[in-house]
Amino acid sequence: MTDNGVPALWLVPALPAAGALIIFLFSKFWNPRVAGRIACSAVGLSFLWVLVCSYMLITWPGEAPRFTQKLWTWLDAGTITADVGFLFDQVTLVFTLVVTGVGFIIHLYSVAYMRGDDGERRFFGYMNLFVAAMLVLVMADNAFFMFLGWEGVGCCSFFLIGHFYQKQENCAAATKAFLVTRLGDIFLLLGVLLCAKLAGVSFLDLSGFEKVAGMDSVPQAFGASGPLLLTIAGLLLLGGAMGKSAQLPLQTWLPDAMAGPTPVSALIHAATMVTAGVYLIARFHVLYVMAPVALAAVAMVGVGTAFYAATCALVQTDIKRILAYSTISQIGYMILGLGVGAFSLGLFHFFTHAFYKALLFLAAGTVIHALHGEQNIYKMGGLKASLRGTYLVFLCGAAALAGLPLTAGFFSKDAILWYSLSTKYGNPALFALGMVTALLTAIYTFRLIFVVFHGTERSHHHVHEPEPLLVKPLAVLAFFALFAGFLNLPHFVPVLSAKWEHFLEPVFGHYHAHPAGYGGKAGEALAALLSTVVSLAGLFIAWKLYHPGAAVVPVPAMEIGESETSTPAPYKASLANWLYRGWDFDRAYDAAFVRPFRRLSGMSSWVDRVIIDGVFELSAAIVRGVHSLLLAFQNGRLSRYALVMLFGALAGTIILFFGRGW
Amino acid sequence: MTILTLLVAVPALGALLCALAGKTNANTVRGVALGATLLHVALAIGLIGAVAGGPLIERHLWIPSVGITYHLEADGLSAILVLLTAVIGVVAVLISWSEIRERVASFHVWMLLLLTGIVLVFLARDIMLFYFGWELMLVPMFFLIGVWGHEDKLYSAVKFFLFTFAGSVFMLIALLYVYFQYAAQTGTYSFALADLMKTSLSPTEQWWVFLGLFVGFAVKIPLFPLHTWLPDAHTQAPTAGSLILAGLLLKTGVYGLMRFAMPLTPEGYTAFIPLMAGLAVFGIFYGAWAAFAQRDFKRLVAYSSISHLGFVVLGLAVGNAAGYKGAVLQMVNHGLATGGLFLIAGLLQERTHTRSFEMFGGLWRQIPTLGGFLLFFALASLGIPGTGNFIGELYVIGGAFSRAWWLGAVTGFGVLFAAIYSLRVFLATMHGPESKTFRKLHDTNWRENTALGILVVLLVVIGFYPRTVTTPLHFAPDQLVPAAGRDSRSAAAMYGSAPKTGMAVHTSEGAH
Repeated sequence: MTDNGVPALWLVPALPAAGALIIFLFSKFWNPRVAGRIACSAVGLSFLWVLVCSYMLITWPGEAPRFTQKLWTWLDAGTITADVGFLFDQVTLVFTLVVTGVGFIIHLYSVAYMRGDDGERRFFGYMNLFVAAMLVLVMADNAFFMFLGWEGVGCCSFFLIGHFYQKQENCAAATKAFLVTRLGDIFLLLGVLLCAKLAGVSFLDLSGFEKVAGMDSVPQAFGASGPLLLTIAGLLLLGGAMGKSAQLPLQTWLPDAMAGPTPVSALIHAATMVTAGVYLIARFHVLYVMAPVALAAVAMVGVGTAFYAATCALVQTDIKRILAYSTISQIGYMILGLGVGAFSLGLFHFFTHAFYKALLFLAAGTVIHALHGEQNIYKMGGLKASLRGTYLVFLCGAAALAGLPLTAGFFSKDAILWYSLSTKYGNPALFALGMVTALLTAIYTFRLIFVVFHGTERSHHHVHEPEPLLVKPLAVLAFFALFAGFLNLPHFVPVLSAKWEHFLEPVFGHYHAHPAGYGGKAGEALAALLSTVVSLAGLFIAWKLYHPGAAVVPVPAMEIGESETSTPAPYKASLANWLYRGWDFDRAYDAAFVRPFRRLSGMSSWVDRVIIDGVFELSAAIVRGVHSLLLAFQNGRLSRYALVMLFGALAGTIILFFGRGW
Repeated sequence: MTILTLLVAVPALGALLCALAGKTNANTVRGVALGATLLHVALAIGLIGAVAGGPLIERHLWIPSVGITYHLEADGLSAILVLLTAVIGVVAVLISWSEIRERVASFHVWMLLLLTGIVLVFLARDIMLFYFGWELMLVPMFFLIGVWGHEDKLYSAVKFFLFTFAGSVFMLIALLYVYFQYAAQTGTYSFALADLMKTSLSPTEQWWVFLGLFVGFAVKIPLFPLHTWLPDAHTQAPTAGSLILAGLLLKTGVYGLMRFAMPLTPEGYTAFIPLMAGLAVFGIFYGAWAAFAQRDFKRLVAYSSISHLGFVVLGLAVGNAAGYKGAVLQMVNHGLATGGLFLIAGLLQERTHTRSFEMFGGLWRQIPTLGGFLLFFALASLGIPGTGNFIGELYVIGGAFSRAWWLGAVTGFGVLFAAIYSLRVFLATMHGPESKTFRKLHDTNWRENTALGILVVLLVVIGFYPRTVTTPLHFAPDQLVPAAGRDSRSAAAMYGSAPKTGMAVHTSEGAH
């Protein structure tokens, strides 16, 4: 089981994979409830095993401990060489803990949430399969094996978005998610191929790149086009991250992906899968440090997406779409952190975000459940009293999302903002846009709180009390949403400061950027103060606009907005409508890609049927004609034969003449 | 008599037994056919083991006056394709069990004869013997489509016959030219491939000979624009016919290129690389685009075959270890995954009497197991990692990438369009509001589950351990790929040792 005392890493993904296999093969013979139990046990056991591995890694003697385990040789074709092998270092530790830990809580919640659903077995099978694939993604020791997990999670995401498959628009959302992310996947695959060519091998400990980085200059290693190739590789990988992590301009699939059951949104489309891009860029940090242009692109994509999604979240009316846009925006922050060289802080924001966003989604699921499937926030309202426990945990998550002081979200976001100003890759523009986004975040978050939980009840449904399993597990998440930030306090705090950064130092080492200038610790404290003011200002603005007596909610013109109808446009103002439609990306893509593709496809089919097949049909017809003609020629007259020979020779010459040229 | 002759003889004898059993009841015939194909699988597995130590050869004089020999030989490539043939044979018998109800005996006779011809093609090293096998495939397939096919069967059968027959004429002329050149140069007549490879041909001669062979094989593959027989033949053939057509017959064209065209005329091959690569890449996109627009389940899958076979031919055209391995992997994977899709189409047609997407939709609730299988094959077809198709495509794209980065990049995007049509197959049949037309369809039975399960297991095994297919290839004789790829040598330099894989072993002397 173990070699050199290294724990059996493969067991971590194998447990949920086995769970999925058992559910798919046998659960139809059992009560549907059993599937949920198997799924929970599989993920729970996997979590326990991750704890064991983590403990061993932390207590392992030596400078920079790192576990690797090779099972067998997978690919062997020239530069495409890869094992089925696992890597477990500090970055893996963080990701596996979140995937299995948060995953376990969401599985528990799902047992209650999915009770009585038609496809309960299918649901839990795919959930387990997803966890297995996600674990492969973050544990693979080479980029090709990682790609297996990468596409595997995309597949499970497709299955689960389309869980309620009898509705056509759910299928459309699933397909859109799959195709848009697959476009990103192709970029990623090409990037990996290029990296394998550049660095020789695709091992994710990046020894190939480390060796190159150790040399005096990049051109020395890769020739004159080296820097260009590295930049292209970095941009291709960024393309992969854009697809999976819903970053501009490939973000359009994520809001639609909310068609899936809410636990799916919490697990896949908030806590784990959509952060795969963050993992990817953090893993390839050596490459990005060598390609500063690509790194700058990462930062710009990150901050741009953060701002974009926050503006869209301001006007959404569907509770899950608000959260979806906020996820896009928060991942933008993580990517921004990576883009300014603060790799460990990008991961720290991933860590805190996984808790508070999973919490928000699950709590929103409880609300939706209590209101019999209602998702329009303007049909909610006043739920504070009837859903007391849910309201409290939701408030914890919202505080973290809005970055209220001392919550987890405050510390992780503030650190990224500070680094985006002060490292050598940072600049004031990134910082300023990040701050504006923070203000917008606080506004849309508390808009959600005030409209959903305060004021008068607008729901016509009877609100029923949720069962304990829909609320209790959320308390764990709420705890982390409030207190996880203390793992990495700012540098100006005398105790516990920068613990997280130190923990990840064995991985990032000297590639990690550090603040320089801007007044050092004093500047950092000032930035933290500014963050505090901004988040409180956002809270205040939201109260002014959306408090129970405010004029904005609910105005008669907003009465439309059935989440089922395809033309929801609930606003009169064109700007609000434009934001509501996500800056019209969908419309542009439809015109630029979807419709041309349909035409191209129809045209290919037509050309094939009419033109290409037509040529052969025509020649068949000619042969039939010639046949009857030949009957006329074979009449025994010499002169006729001579004529035919003459034409034959002429035709032969022409064919030879043109045949050569062709 | 060695295992090689047995491999050819077993399906032929099976056909004979089926004919004799034709007077008894239909299940006896089916049982006989199943027995023969199972025995065939056992032999083929034995063959894989046997070729691990080097090629197997069986040679007898046949018609010495013109130099025809009975020469069978198996290396890794042949062995893998023979095993694929045997496995597809079992699946074909299982899937025809309830579909074929009329003239059961003659159906199985033709099918087993067809398998005989295919095995002969994969094993023959004498050109006349090869040609005999090649034509032997033609007639049974013609009858399988023409007699047991669907509404437009006769038109499709004739079209199939004319196209492939016309192609084989070009092939025969080219082969005969080499034969006579060899005779002129050495004074002896021989149809043996090993002899003919010693013929010295000028570059111009090689160009023409390769052209002839290329046309013959390209029809079978089929390469754009010689593919138009395929959608008709696939759509109209009975399920087993479509399965064998996709799984095996198309592969004989690729195999012909690898075994005959490329080694006989290496310079012709080099000259044709741009055209091959161009047609292959164009076919990848064209097939995928046309596939998406189809309204008929089987027609869609047929067009997807054109796209997939584009990957195979591209793998040969890039001329390096990765591309070559990818091509062979993709031949096997395409046979299994596309074969699976044809099985699903057949099972659906058996239940609903239609292949039209407009009639389908929302069937998942009624036939969840069938839907699950369809989902798997659709994902395999779009090359999801964990299935063999991913590895085949990855190798081909990687091989193209090594050859020219833009070629790899362009090809990579073909995978996107594969996703579009593959998802459509699944979504249009299983998803959506529950069908009102079809009620109470029965889900798959154990026989159907076995047939589909075999394909699923094989695809997953290859997906996680592709060396089941690529390892035996190491023993392929050196003539297989004439233009050794540059990238395998640079890889050897990179790892500081000669890789035991791919082209490097081809420098060792084959056992002739």
